[in-house]
Amino acid sequence: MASSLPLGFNSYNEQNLRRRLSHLINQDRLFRAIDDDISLVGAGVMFIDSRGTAVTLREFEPLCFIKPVNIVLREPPIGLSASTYISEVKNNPRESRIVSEAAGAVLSCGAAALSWFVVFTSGAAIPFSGGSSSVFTVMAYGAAAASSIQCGNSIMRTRNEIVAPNRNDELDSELWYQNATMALDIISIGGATTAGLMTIRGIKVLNASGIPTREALQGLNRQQRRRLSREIARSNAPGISNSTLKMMERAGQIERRYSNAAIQATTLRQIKDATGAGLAYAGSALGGSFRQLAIVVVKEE
Amino acid sequence: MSKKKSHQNRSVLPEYQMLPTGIWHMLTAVLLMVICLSLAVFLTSSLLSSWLNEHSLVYFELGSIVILMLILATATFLVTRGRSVFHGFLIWFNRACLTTLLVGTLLAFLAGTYGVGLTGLVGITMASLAHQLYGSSKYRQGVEHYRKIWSYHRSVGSQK
Repeated sequence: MASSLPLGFNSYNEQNLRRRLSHLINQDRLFRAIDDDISLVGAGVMFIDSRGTAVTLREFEPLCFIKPVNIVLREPPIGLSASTYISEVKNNPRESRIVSEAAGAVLSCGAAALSWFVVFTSGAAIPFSGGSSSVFTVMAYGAAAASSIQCGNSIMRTRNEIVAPNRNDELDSELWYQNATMALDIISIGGATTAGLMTIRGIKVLNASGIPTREALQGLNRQQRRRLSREIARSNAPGISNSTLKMMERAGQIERRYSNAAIQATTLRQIKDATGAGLAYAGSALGGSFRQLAIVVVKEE
Repeated sequence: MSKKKSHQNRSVLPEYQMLPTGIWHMLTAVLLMVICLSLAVFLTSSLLSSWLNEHSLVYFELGSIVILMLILATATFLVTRGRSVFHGFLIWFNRACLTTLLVGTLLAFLAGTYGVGLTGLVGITMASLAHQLYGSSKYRQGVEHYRKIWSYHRSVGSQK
């Protein structure tokens, strides 16, 4: 069976290893044993010797699984006893997982801090902006609550990884837990995406009025502020005519011109939100659903 | 906050503050509470470990964290929406957390589990700091600012 497989980089070492394995391992029996296990049917089999030479004994066959499942058989590297190698294999992933969980906790808590900052600053701005960003604030609340839960969850996972790693394994094996963390990530990312979209929209409105972001932070003159107010109104109601705009201004339904403080606050808030969005994404990538996707990609390779 | 005082402030909109007084106290307090609550859950879970099996402990920890974080997040959010009564709730919530940490730490030291006890001490320090922040004049000024601006906003909304 092995001889029918593509050899890849057919070096002398690989050929030697194949020859050695054909004497040492009853491959047909090995593959039968693997295929008898319902969770491993069709799994690919690789062998890596003590010098690091790798050969594929059997390619993955998608009989029961679409995504590749591979079994790697590895000899202890030269200079390491079998027991040392086993303990290294058992302990190293855990050590790296502690670092990974701790980094995830720092990022989740950082994202929570920024989300809360957005809640506090937008709470102070809404009564002045006429409640136009209420939906955005509710999203920010959702993101802050979700990030806080993720922060607590990450602290719990880091502590579990040190004290009782099997608890994390148990949680990871639960489908509802995977779905719940994914839901939290989606809420966090939803808030972050809204913040990001608001930032892009804000920058577009500023650009449409011919105002660079830096200038908005320094303060605008009366004409610029009026032009910006009109651009915001047009952005909220696309296709609105100039006469309707003027009528709405006179009726007080839209702001004639925003104050400099409000414009600076909005621009600053949007920049902060964008930073928070970045952290939320990074936290998710390290500690949440994106990480699982990354592992799947690695497995597929 | 009395109804009379609330009515007096309704027609006056305070000056706009991009970063209201006490915002840093509020932010620090909520973040300290997020960590304190997690530590309080660990402490309780460690004390319950003699009675509960591993599986139940995992569910207990996760469920407690979710519920406590939602309570904290909702109360804090409502404070930023001018509901100053929730400031009192947050102080009470912080005291409950502090008491849990104190009792848990004491029991942990009595049981000889010094690692858990030290975790509890860290939690007590953070909860005490959060308690100071919740009771500080700056925090109260912040709560009052939110109450005033939202009271005005609601009164304008109800007039329309």
